[in-house]
Amino acid sequence: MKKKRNKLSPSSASSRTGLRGAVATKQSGEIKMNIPLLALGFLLMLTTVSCNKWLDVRPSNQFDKEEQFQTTQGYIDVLVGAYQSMNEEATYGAELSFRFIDVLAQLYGNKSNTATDYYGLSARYAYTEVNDTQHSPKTVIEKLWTKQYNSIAQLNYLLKHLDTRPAELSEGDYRLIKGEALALRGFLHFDLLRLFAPAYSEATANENAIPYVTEFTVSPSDVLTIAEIVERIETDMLAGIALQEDTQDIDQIASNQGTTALGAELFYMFRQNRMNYWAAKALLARMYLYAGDKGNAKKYADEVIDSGWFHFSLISGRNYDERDVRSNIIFTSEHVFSLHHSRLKNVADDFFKTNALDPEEVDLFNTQSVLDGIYESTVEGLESDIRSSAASPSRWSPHSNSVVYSKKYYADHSTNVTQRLIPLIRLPEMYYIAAESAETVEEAREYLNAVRTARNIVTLFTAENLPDQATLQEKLFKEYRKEYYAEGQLWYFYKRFGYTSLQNTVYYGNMNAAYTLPIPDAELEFNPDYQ
Amino acid sequence: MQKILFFASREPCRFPNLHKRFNFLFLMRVNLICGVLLTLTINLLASNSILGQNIHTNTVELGIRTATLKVALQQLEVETGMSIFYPSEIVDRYGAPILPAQKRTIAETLDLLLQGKSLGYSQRGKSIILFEKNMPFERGEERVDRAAQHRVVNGQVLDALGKPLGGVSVYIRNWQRLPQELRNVSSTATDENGIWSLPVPSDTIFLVFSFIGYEKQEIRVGNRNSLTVTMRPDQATQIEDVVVTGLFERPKEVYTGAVRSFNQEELQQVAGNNVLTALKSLDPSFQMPENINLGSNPNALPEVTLRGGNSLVDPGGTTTSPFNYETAPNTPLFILDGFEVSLTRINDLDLTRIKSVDLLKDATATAIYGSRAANGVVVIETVRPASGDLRITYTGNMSLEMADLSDYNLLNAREKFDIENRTGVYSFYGDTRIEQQLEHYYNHRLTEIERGVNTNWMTLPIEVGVGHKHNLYIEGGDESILYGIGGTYLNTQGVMKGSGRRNILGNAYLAYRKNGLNVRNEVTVTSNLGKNSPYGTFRQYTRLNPYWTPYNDDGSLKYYLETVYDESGRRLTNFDSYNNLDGIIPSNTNPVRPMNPLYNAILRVVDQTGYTNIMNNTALQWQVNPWLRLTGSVALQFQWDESDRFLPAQHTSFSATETFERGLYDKGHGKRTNYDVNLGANVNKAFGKHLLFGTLGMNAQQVKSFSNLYTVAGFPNARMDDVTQGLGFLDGASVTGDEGFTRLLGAFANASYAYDNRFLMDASFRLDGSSQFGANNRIAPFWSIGAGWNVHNEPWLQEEEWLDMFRLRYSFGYTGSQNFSSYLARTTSRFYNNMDYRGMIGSYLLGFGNDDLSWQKTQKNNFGFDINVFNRLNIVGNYYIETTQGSIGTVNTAPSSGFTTYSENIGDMKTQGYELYARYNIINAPTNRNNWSVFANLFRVDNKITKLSSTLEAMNARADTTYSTVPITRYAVGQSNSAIWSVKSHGIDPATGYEILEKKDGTLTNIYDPRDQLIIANGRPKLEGTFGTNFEYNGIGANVYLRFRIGGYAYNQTLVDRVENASVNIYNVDRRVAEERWLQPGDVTFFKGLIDYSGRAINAQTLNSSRFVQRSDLLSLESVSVYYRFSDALNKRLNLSNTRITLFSNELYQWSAIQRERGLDYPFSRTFTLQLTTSF
Repeated sequence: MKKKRNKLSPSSASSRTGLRGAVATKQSGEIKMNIPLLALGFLLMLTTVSCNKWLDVRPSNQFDKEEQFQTTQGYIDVLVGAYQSMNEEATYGAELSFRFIDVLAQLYGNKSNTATDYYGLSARYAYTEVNDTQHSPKTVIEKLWTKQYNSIAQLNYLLKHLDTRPAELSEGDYRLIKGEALALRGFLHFDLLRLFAPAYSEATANENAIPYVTEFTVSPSDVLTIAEIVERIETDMLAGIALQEDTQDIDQIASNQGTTALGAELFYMFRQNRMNYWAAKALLARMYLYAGDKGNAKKYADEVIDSGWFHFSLISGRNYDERDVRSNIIFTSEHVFSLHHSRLKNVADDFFKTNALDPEEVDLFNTQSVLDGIYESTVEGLESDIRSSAASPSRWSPHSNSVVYSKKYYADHSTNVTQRLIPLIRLPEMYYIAAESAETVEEAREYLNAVRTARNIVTLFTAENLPDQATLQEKLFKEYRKEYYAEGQLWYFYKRFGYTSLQNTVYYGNMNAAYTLPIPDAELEFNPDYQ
Repeated sequence: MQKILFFASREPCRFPNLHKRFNFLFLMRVNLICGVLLTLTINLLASNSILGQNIHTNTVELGIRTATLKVALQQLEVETGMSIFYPSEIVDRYGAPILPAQKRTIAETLDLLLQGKSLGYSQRGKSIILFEKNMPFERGEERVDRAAQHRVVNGQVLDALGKPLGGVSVYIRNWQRLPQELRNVSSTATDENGIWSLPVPSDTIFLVFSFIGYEKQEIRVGNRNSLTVTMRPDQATQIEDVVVTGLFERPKEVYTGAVRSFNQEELQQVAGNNVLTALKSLDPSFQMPENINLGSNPNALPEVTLRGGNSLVDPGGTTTSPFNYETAPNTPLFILDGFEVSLTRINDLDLTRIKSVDLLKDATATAIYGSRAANGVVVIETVRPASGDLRITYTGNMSLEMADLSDYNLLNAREKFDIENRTGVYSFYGDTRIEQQLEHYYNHRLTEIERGVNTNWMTLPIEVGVGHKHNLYIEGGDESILYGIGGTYLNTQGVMKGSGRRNILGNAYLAYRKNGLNVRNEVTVTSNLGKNSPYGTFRQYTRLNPYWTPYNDDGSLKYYLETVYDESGRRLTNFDSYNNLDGIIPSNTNPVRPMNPLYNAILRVVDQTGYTNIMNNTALQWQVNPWLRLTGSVALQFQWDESDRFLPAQHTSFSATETFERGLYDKGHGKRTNYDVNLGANVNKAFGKHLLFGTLGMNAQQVKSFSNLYTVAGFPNARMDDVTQGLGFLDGASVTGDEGFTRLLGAFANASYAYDNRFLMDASFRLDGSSQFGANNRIAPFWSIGAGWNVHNEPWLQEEEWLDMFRLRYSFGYTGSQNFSSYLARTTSRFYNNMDYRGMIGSYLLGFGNDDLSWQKTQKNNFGFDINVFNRLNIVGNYYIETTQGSIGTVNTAPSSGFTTYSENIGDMKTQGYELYARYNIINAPTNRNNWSVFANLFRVDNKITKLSSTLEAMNARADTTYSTVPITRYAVGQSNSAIWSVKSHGIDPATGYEILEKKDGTLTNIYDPRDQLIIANGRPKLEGTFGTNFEYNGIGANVYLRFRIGGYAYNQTLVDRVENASVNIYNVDRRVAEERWLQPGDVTFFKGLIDYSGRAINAQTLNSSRFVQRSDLLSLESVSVYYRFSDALNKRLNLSNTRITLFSNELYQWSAIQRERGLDYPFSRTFTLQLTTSF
């Protein structure tokens, strides 16, 4: 380049011009040299502009929000993830459905074996004990709290991005997803409230309870009072119901034995395994009863009962053989809301011993005599109860007289989907709620007798054996205990009525302190509202 | 490759006549020359001349009608496009002849211009250098007369290829001592034919031959009248005088950064194979903390820090990547030939391939690496081929590794049995049935001992590891094409039988150069295989009881080590609670018998990891003009990793496993891909007394990695050792894995400025964008500024001959660190892979991504000085203060948020310390390489935590409730991160045998409470360093490197685990259990009793107390090497060159104040290496 330019200048120039020429060349040379620099600078600027985009890397075995919320399927994935997250052992996969919560309710005989293991400590309400760091009451409570709120965060993550939905997400899907998410958020908070706050009463209603989390953030949310939480749950449930109003009839609750073949519109199927329209109503009934609003409780319970979607499990032709494709030990037609757990067999193997091997430390069982007491098998007129081992021996698996497992979670057939469900709300509870909320004892008896009949009990409630409200509570307790063995509801019943001593208990201290689980240390430490 | 010998050595100033006349002007010129030469040659191929133009063939059409020579030369410069350098003072004196405009060669033009002047010229690439021809006999009658009284010696100087070398300075050593009249004629320079002549007053005179880019030679004249000298290209010195930052190079003379540079020769004085080991000895601020557990395991990746590192390490954090894809938080950045590489890659690098290593420490040196620089930068350049005829260099060595078991002091069979007996192992009060059973054990063991069983288990898995290395390098080329092809085979064998590491490296280098344009490409392929010993962990062998023997009577290997029957022939199980360290924990319900680990060794156990790495670097360089160079380079790196671990069904760890689950195969795969692009522009310019270097550039980098791992179970037959032969996955198991993806984009600018070679300044700025930062904080600025003062160049010091160098420097700036996993700043989800939800599969959140996450910021201050006096004593010192803000750590949050932790910039730390490097040359004769020097390198670093994250505080709280036998790492504001926390102990109560502990309030107690833990001592030494000597005489040399540490403390784990808490009844123990424990009231002992004053066994575990915190002062003979360098004559006779035989030994001896077992899982070793290097 340089040479060429020099050749253009006259070679016979005078020394002066030559000098000037030299100077000029030098200058132009400098400019030329600056061109690459300028180009480089320009390139730099260009790259800086597009740099943010380039730096926005996308992981391949995980995906971030931009990728997640591009398609309808992405939204569905997050929602389904919330249900799957509830399947973990820390919450409804074990602790909140049949394990921790029913050990608290003193439903298993083996908890008294040793006072120092997890079961023994839990049955003695030693909530702050840490006997081993993996599984002790303290860590179970911590994990339960953390996991429950983690599922809530999953829903908040979904809700946060739901309103910036892509065009692809149809109005119908939007309403369905949002309705489920809001109602499920309410559901999860309600169980936290029932566990970690004192039972609802006028005295406790204004006590600080738990945070109600509606934002997707790591900053702690405000701790609200029991009454405020109830209000929030009500808001979420009602909103959830309203959003699902149009889709209340797409449910396919009638047949649980559905296909899971690819291509099916799975998202619109098996609604009873999702926080559906009716489940939200049932939860409201449960919550109004908890909050002492019997009018609303009955209203919603009746609505679920009268919906026609749910019916009692059959008496004749009942099939409790876990190896059979049509078996139905868990009474699926009664499920208003249950979780599908594809690995439930493993869970049952762990806790309820599907093989007749020696009991292990984690097993949950009771003695035959205690079970006979629960189902009043020796009382005339009650021995035909299809729930009891007397009438339905195949619903129970006795290892010996002192070790009897429930078969509710047994699943030994590869295509029998009904045996992979963990019930969270079942129809009988609606009858019980209605009975408890009924204005007259007569009405209450009717509701209870409906269940009794469905359970093949000959002796129904009459004015003689159920004369007044006082007896009603005692009878309700027995019904709950029969119906919800290993389903995690009895504890809340005890707590609601403030029982001072529990049946078959190994704990003789003050129950008042035991009814409220301690808020985990980490929450106390990092949520300023608790300080 | 003519790099700036002149820069650092200040040698030119010592030419008597030049010194007097030119002073700094000459220096400036020289600097300019060097700067330009630097520009020309940096990153270029090694060659002695670059021919863009040949002055003898290229013509120029030029008419000159100017008055002065200077202007004429400028004109010529413009016309030819070449740069002409000259001593201005002389050129200013001359006028120029008038030349008619006509075509001449450049050389002819120059000849005409310089006719009759005392100037000669030579071409150096695109430059022409004018030099003063010394013509002592023509200069003045008077001087000639006097000088003429002396003998005149003449001769010729040749380069390595035998061509005459012009411009070489020839002067008399110690000219100051010459009589006055001779001083002015004591130096000259060779003419274009390499011819020189000088008056020489006596035979004992030494003549010094010196030229840029060549080794200086000193030759005794003797009675010769004529000598021919061959100059050797100098590779050693030139590197020392340039700071290589990986992105650009700067002459050390004007650089204000804290940098330590080492060349190949220095590295090879310490070690034969591993560059990290060599650096550890050469610079104590480059540290590789001894790993007590892993010992000398050849497959263990060392932990490396430079100046101690600046990040607070999350004690709870663990790396998930099986193939070391994630970098430890305090690891420095490694730059190999301009591109970032992993620590593994450096660990496996062949030392013979390394040309130089630069340790960049302070802000000036590191700020151009911006967000990656906080922990320092290690820049490694590999050898580039030299031009010339085909040359083959061979380096080979053989090394022996011998286990160092001197730290172990175990009991023999009888002693072990005695102590068992003494501590009541064979008695069981109150149950005669059990006592009777124990009697059988007693008798069985005693019988074994009586028949002579006394197994020294430690020696069984140990052997002398014989390793070897072969490196062959072929190089050659001419001015336009250069090539180099090399290969290395390196096989290291560890001291545990069957363990070793095998590396095969190959590389090919090709460069083409024309008209200032330069293209080069280098491919490096590394194949690695690391095998772990089938003998398992060494720890097992130190626990096995010596009264057991691994062999049956027929010589076959036992499966169970001990089988004892009662009188009715039933096997007894009283001692079936032996932990074989295979993951099966014995308990009451799970009896485990001691298994024979040697049995496993005969099975086909496979335990290995390996990788293949391909790295391709392509670089393009364009020398636009003498002061501007544009560069662009691309590096691609691929690495494939594979790991295999196969335990056949017969392995002792499956003794209690169901048949179909016996046999396990762990298989792992991984891949890592790097792309790296650099663009840059370099400017060098001198105006008068100003010297300016500038670099502008950008780089983009992408690193992507993934790994997956799975375990297949059920290999009934040991010969079915392929993963496909397994029965299936274990229940519930699936493929696990890990993934990482980061991108980095940076733009940087750097300017170095020197005024008059006295006042120096460096400034850098870098903008970094990283995918690892949160979306709200993606771009980070980093900068540095440095100032320096070359005191020795001050006019008032110029006359001080003793002072060769005295430079003061200071630098300040900000750098960052991003050694953390890829996606901390994003909220990401993953699909459930082990269950479905009614046919659907949902996603779950992996964590909360902190959008506000930003880089860790480290502010660096560095004060430094460089002193060289009498050209003998060299001292370099640095004092530094580094303040880190926002070290990335996990922060706890209220779990009601759905998350318990997230990542946040939290945790501030202040580090300060100093480095002092001193070397004294007792003998230094470059002519024959004879030299002897002693050196000492001192280092100290202290740090103080200034801010802590809530997580770390929560961990402290946990430490307050944890009963631990080891000090738990805990951090506290105002304290060092290496503080050792323990409960203060007052020793063992002579009356009771129990330990007396001090509570926080000062009262004494026997009851241990972890809340009483205090900071007892600091694990960091008050002073550490290396010292030693380098010596060579007539080709025989020796190097000794010793390491010392003073004032640090350590927790003596051996005393706790292997003496006090030793399960004497089950495992073999340290001798001190038997000999130094409390026995009866009145005993003053260090160790507590096995039984207390009332005769009851003391079963309580000894927990972390200050009793075991001991001084860890150390003196170790880290490296000793002796070598013999063949003389030129011998080389010639063997048709070889540069032949050298070296014997290295590493970790020969260690004296330590603390007596503890070292090398628990793998023993430490001493190595001896015999190495041969030669070229032909």
